[in-house]
Amino acid sequence: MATISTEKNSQTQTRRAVLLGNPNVGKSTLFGRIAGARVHTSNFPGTTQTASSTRVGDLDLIDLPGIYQLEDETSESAVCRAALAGLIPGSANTRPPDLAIVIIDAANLSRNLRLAGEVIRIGIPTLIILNRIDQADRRGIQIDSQALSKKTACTVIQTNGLNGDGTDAILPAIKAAASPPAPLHDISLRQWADGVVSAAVIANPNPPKPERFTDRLDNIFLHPILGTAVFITSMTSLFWVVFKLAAYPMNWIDIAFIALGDLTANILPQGPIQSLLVDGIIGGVGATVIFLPQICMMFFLITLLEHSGYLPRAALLIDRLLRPFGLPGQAFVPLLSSHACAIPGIIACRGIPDRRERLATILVAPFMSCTARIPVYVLLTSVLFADQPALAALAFTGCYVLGAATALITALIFRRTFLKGPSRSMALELPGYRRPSFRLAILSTRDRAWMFLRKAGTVILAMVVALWWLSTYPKAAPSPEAAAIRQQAQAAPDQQTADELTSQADLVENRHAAGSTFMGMAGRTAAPIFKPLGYDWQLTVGVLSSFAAREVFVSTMAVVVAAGDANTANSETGLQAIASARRDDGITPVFTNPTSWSLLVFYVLAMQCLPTLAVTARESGDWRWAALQFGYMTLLAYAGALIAYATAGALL
Amino acid sequence: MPTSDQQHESRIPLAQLKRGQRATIDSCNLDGKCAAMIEAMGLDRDAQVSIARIGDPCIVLVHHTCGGSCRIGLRRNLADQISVRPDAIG
Amino acid sequence: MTPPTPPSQAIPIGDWQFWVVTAIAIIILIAAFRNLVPGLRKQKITRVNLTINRKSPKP
Repeated sequence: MATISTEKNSQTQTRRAVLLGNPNVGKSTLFGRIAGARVHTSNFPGTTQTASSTRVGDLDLIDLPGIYQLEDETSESAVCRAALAGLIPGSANTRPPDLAIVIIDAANLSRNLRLAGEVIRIGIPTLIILNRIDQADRRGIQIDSQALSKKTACTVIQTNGLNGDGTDAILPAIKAAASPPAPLHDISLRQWADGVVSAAVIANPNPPKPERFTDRLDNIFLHPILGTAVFITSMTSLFWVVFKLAAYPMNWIDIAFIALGDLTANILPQGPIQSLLVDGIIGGVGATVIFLPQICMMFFLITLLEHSGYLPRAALLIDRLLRPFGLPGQAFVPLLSSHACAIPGIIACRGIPDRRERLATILVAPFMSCTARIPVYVLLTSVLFADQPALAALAFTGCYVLGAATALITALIFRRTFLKGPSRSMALELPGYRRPSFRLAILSTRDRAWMFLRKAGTVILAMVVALWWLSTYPKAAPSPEAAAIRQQAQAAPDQQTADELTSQADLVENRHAAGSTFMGMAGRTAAPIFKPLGYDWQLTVGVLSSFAAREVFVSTMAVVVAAGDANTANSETGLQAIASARRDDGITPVFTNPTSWSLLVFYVLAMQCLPTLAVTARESGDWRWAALQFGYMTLLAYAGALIAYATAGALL
Repeated sequence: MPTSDQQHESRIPLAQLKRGQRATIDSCNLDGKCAAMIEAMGLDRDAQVSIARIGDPCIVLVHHTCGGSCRIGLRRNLADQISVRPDAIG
Repeated sequence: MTPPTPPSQAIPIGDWQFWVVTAIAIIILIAAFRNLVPGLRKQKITRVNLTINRKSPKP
């Protein structure tokens, strides 16, 4: 009998079960069914894998990455081996798990059984879940569960993960599973698997039906011309839908936060605390939350595409395009995801088998224009093409193209220099096409959105608060220049002139105050560095602030140059106020055309996201890669902006 | 049991199989990691395969003894390095 | 040239609100960075463990 039920220590013995299986076997679906909404995702520190865990009663259930074999070179297998030995993240308990649950694809028994065999060999009690029973039925494969159970000495449950058949039996079986299975004889796993199959599978009298539908779709999706057309259409539609649909909830969030800010401003008396709450905290939280609709929408659609079976085909197709740049087809999904936010994108690089290729993808992923850059793009393109929306849209798209192109070229350079190595040719299992589950997509989106909020949101809030403090103190004495203008206003002949002079005085006062704060002083000190790019000290303040978080550029500029408030910076009037702001001489606009082009290129290429650097450091295993990433992206941004400024200045 | 005739039958690269043609995997001329990867997916010695799509990339169906199958997409340069014994027709 | 703002006015150390906001800002900063940094430190330790504890028997 097993040791579990007889242990009666004073500590509550939490039983642990781990979930294993081949990729594409429906493990996540089943895990989702058992766990419901109570999933907690954590990371295996020291590797690049995630483990989702949930608690069911007194049992900790941990979902491990999908693997083909325990004994191979991939990091996923290393994680599974470690977990089976007891090393599970977030747990000081290093006891081996009490139960191993192996999920097997009923339509693919031979290969899946090899993994089951490896797990049984370890000696932990094992439960076998035979999933995709419907698929097996469709192909005329009949499996005798009793025989399978006898041959493997494990309990066997048949399930259909998609519609839930059989899943009720899982939890009771987990509770009941106790006796360790008999260890295997020392025969090869393949022979053992074949032996089990011959005992448990009733021979199929009919030859396997040709999968015409799948073949036809594959031929379209992988066709060099037709497949590429489908690819371009689907990607364009993806982006278009994301931007169009997300605009509505973004608007509501904006309104909500402005209302919240106004409410707080009305409740609290004027002063630093009110300012901290309204401009700092509410502004900071709002700045992050407003991106949630776009991020969620993009991940939702990408997940749907993934579950439908299309993305693996797209990855295989795109492999041909990415290879010349030293990247594999598996880099496609991470790079695509990075358009929403580079953090989950970099984490998705775990699916890239070759170490150098993975590193190259991680290093260039932040070049893909993420949602945080959008407010900056919107501001600058509307300044550049104020009454020409078509051209503005073109410039906007151009930014995305520039980002992607830079990513590819940089990857190529890396792969030819310090990340030199042979390309591992792409081989990918293509799962069957199926209708994607909305429910699963929502759960997956929720996980990634939550990751964004936790990792990026907390840091961005801190940065915004820090920036607020540095932009508030030290306070300046009233500006004599502004006072002089106000005197003129008092002596003005008519109301209109008086009003104009008063607003002018306000702006001068504001600029004077902004220049005296720590941020202002930093801006003035660093201004010579950015002068060749066409930025004055005010823009330098904006750029410096953005290194903390890109999103703050527009609101910072609103406060510094337009005496506006951070919350309304992105509205039409807010943007206009920023666009018409003047430099110190009072005449030159802050945003001249060459300067705007220079800024646009700078923001496409610059690394201005601390959480991303942290994730790079973690996923690559060395903080020096993150330092390198920061270094070359900043250099490239500066060079690019310089070229843009010089070129625009010469041409315009 | 393969007869001596069948043993002398040409081993050809996977890439040269025709659509729908069945074959048995013989060996592969790939480095350790690559070979381990495709073997783990199911393309190991004596695996029964057939071609669903020729070209680049090609799609190989691996037919398991249990009656099931799985679909693997391969780039041409991988398919060139895997040699198979085509099944006799008929 | 205007006389520079007296320090107590520039950074209002006499104002209790100033201290409150500064304290809050510092707390938020520390909390956020604790969030960032631990991910970097834990990994080195466990990496060693993984190689030592490989238990799976070879077929």
